[in-house]
Amino acid sequence: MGDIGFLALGYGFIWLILGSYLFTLARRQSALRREADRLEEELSRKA
Amino acid sequence: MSVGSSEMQTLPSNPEPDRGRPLWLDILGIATVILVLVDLFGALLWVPREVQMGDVQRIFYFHMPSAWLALGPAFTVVFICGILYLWKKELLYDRIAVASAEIGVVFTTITLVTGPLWAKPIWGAYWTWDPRLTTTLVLWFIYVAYLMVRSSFPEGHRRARLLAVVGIVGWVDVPIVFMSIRWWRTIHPTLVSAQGMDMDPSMQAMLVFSLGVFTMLYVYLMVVRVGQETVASRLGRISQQIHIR
Amino acid sequence: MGFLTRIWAIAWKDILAELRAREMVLSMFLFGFLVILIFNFGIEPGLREMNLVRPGVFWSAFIFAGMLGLNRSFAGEKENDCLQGLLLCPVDRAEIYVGKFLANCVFTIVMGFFVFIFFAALYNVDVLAVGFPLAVIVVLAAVGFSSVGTLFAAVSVGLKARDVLLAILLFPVMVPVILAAAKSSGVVLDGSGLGSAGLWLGLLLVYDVVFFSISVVTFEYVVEE
Repeated sequence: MGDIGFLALGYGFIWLILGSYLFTLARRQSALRREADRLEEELSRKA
Repeated sequence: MSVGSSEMQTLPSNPEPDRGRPLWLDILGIATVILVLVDLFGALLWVPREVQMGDVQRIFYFHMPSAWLALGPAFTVVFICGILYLWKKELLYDRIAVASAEIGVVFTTITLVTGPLWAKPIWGAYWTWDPRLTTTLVLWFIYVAYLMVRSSFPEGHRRARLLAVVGIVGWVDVPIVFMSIRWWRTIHPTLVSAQGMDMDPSMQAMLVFSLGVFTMLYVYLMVVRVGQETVASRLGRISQQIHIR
Repeated sequence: MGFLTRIWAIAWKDILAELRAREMVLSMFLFGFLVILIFNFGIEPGLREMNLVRPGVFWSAFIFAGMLGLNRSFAGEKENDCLQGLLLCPVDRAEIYVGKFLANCVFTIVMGFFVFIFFAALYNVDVLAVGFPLAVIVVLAAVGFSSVGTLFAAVSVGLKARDVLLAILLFPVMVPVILAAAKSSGVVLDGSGLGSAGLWLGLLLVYDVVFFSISVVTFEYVVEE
């Protein structure tokens, strides 16, 4: 694998790792939003 | 890879879900994305080719800032927040610590992956027991353990205390690990050294720029992550209050 | 001196419990022997470079067997809810730590002694010549191992994944100890005196002092309910 091959692999991995982390952040964000919605719903039911 | 726009509708720093994110956060996010792309362009296309190492050397502009950010600020923040938490008992410090530990692990992983990929074409081996890279590997394990401790305990002050202690011990260990590996390697000299790069002014400028961009990325990710933790714990408390009634 | 008596009381409690039950130290020895044996089967017997490899074999066995002991360190307390009782005593948390640390040190050193005998037999080591220097190294390594080990054992107590988490926490932090112990014992086994290994012994000493101090100070936060 030539020079460029390793370079491409390297940058590819960087994007992969950063991307995965951002993806988990986004998923957690949605989970938080769903939780907030659920709590709001419970609150309105109990009110 | 679009950060900050569509996926994250609930606001990190502003706890009320139906209000939008603060403007500055969006600006920071977009600016970070743009600068990262500029960084990529610069490293791949703008900066001149290194004489001895060829094009593979370009990965250094992302490898070195990652390494520096992980070894330096990221885990030092974990250490300082650990001490601050034990002193002040504010859970905010615990939240900052975990954000920094997570992002630190991300950057450390990047360093550990790009290091060997850079080493192989230039020095012929993926792993050379270079003291800095080897210490980074040990560092990776220490903070992955930190995150595992975190997921083994329920949220609260007890967990924060344990994590603070682990963070303190881990951070103190790193320089000792580095020294011991360095002494170990000077007896059997390494085949390679991290030096040996001819850097002309434009390359140095590129490196500094890249360092700045990564720092900005760290800061942005920190803000988002700490905000998430704050919201999460607030939701937890609200949930408890609802179920008590 | 009140605190010395209290520390000794706590250490003696653990040692006595072990002397009566005898199961932990026995399993430590056996496991240590087994590790050395397994390594032996993995490595070619008449290897010329055996001298380079054998310190590593010994210290790997030492660390793995030591882990067994650490795992049990707080397990006894947790199972019988004695930890609460211990914490209710008018004893300074740091004293509890030092007591536990001492007990673990004793177990680890004793284990090291027996594992070394087995190792010496298999690897034709001249025990009389290298016995004392190696004992010094074992003691220094045991202190370093037990200091962080006792602290982290308290962190992981009560968890389902306790053993694994303890290992994952402890091994990276132990790297300097393993390096220093292996290097200095390599020097000693090859015939030079302790002096030639001065650098590594210094590292072990610094490590012991640093991490013992940190552990003493932070232990109370770990155990606080």
